[in-house]
Amino acid sequence: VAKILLAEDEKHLADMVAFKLTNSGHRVVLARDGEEALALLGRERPDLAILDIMMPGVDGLEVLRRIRDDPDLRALPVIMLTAKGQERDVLAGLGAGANDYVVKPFSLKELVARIDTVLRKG
Amino acid sequence: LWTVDEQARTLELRAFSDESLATEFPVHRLGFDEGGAAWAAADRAPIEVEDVVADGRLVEAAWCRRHGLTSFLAVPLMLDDAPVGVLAFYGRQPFRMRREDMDLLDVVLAQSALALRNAQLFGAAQSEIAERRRVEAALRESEERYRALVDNLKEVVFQADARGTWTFLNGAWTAMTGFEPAESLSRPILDALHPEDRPRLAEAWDRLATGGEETSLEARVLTRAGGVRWVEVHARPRRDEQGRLTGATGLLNDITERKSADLMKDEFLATVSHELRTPLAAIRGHIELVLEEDAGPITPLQQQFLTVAFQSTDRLGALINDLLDVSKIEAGRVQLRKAPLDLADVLREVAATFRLEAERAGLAFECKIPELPPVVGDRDRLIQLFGNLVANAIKYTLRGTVRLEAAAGYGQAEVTVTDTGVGISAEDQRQLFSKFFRSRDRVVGERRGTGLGLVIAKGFAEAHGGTIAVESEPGRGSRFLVTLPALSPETRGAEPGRPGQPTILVVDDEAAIRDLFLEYVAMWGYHGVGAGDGGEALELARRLAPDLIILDVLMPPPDGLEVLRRLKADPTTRDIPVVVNSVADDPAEVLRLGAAECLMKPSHSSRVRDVVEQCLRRDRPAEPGGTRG
Repeated sequence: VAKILLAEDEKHLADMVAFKLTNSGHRVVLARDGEEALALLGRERPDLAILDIMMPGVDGLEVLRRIRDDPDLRALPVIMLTAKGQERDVLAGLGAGANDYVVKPFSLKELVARIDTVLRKG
Repeated sequence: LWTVDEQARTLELRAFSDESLATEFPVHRLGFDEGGAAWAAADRAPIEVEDVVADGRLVEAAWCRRHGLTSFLAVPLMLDDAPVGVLAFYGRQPFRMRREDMDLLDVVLAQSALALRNAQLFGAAQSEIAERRRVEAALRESEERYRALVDNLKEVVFQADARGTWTFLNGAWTAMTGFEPAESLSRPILDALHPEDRPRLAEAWDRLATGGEETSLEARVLTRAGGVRWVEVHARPRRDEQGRLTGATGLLNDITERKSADLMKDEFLATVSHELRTPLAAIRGHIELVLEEDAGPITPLQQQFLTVAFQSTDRLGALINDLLDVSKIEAGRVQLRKAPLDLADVLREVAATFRLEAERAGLAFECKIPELPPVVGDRDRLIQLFGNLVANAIKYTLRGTVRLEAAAGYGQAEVTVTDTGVGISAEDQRQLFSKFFRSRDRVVGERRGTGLGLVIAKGFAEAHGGTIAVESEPGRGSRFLVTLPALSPETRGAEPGRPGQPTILVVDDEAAIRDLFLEYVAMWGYHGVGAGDGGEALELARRLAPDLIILDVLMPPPDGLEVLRRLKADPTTRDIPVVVNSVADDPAEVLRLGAAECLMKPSHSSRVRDVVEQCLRRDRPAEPGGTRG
């Protein structure tokens, strides 16, 4: 069982992913935007974070940057959620230290598989 | 009085002492051969006719008789030994000039000649001045016309000197930037541009300096207000007789509005696709949750219906992606992440993806992919290109075979996708690569695509500098041919090794052996470059100055020994150690020609490695680079 922080501003998507992850045996902490994600990261100490790139205010890439700049959070595995056409941002994300990414619309099965892989490697 | 034009050999009647006689005088222009006054000019001597009527040779004889004139005297006006005029006299009795009459006449004639010349010079000067005034006026008018034209142009017209500083700017410059031309003249063009665009202009300028005929680029010009305007720069070089660049002339076209429209379109598309995808992701995900029974068990019929819904979301997602691609292709803004790649590898990946799909559709899937020349391309886009073609072939084939093949052509790689499907009529072939084109009655079962696959395939093929073509016969099948330009040997050779890493040139006409050696060389930590014949070997040796050459002897001319001879004769390649790899040649002869070492085929790789390392050590004793391992 892993504790996973999910930052996604679209409520339906967030609930859907949370449901699947919970069904797959993980614990999920939801953040509605980047700001909340940053606040929850310190408090909840998750094992992995899933960040949507396109969020109002602090976006996913900025959250990722701050994670990698924080000595306490630096080792946290991160998976980015992105829309097709943002591959450039994704590469920037990998450059900033994302462990993996999935392109919307994504398969939940695939997301679960990628989470397991990243956690195993970590 | 006649004036004489010696060049034209004509006389012109200029004046009459008695104007009343002049009116009916029969001729006003006389050729040298037409007699009368012309005799005096032609012979440069006086001529007298005592009885004009009896003589009968003068053209004006009838006129003389009418006025009761009988005698004629013509004397040339000589200046600097040339006749400038002729004075003609007509009288009612013979002149019978006496000596003193002649002397007096001579004085008068000399003065007259001088006066005549002065009059002529004055006339010429007058007409020259008039001509000059006319030309000046025309020039002024033309200049005013051009100035008015240039000043009223919306486009900026500019000239620059060889160093790239402005030497002329028209009034449109002020309208565009807020700077007066005088403020910008004799400043560098580069300073007027946005810093990010300067390298591109510098590059374009270099192209002009090195013989480029014309250049255009898009750049941002800085304005006085601190903003930017997007401009399209068109420039042509000016050169001196030696072909050196002396400057450039060109136009700046304000494209700010178009640019911002483009940006808005891009943003709009990105937003729309994001807005479409987000609910799509929610639909797809929730269907998946139910289908996977995350939310409890479902009946087989529910599963069947939800599967259709699930597949439809996939199609919708694919359509959004394709629309984004097509809009980029149409705007000419396909951005390729180019890298040298092994096309065979790309095709094998496509085959692996579609083999199962073809077999599920009850089709045989054949794949024949030989070794291919490397190409430069965007791996993902190429997979998409060939994937679209293969998917199409599967879609439109009821039974039979879909075949993915490739071949190395001259300077290019050729890929064909062949099917035994429904085929395409000649009329449909013409519209095949246009948007949303689908032939009527050709859709097979439920296998539908977005109708954009071939547009994208064509767009990506062309973005790679390649082509796409189709051959088809209705009822028999179709064949799509894609060509992609191969990476030329020059570009291949230009791939640099790591700094300090020795470069080894491997020369062998047999690709398999060459590749084997290149693999060894890479394994030992060197940068390997291959050459397939003697000519290429010599060229690469000169250009790359490798640290060592491994040379095969038995090649089509120029063979290895000839290559060795030429390498050793050329001062730029003389000092490169050459290891000859040979079958049955005389090693002594090879060494005498200057080879560092001679190996006998088949040579064991460890032996080759020892020799290579020895040679590199010998060549550069101070550097440990070649001896690692």
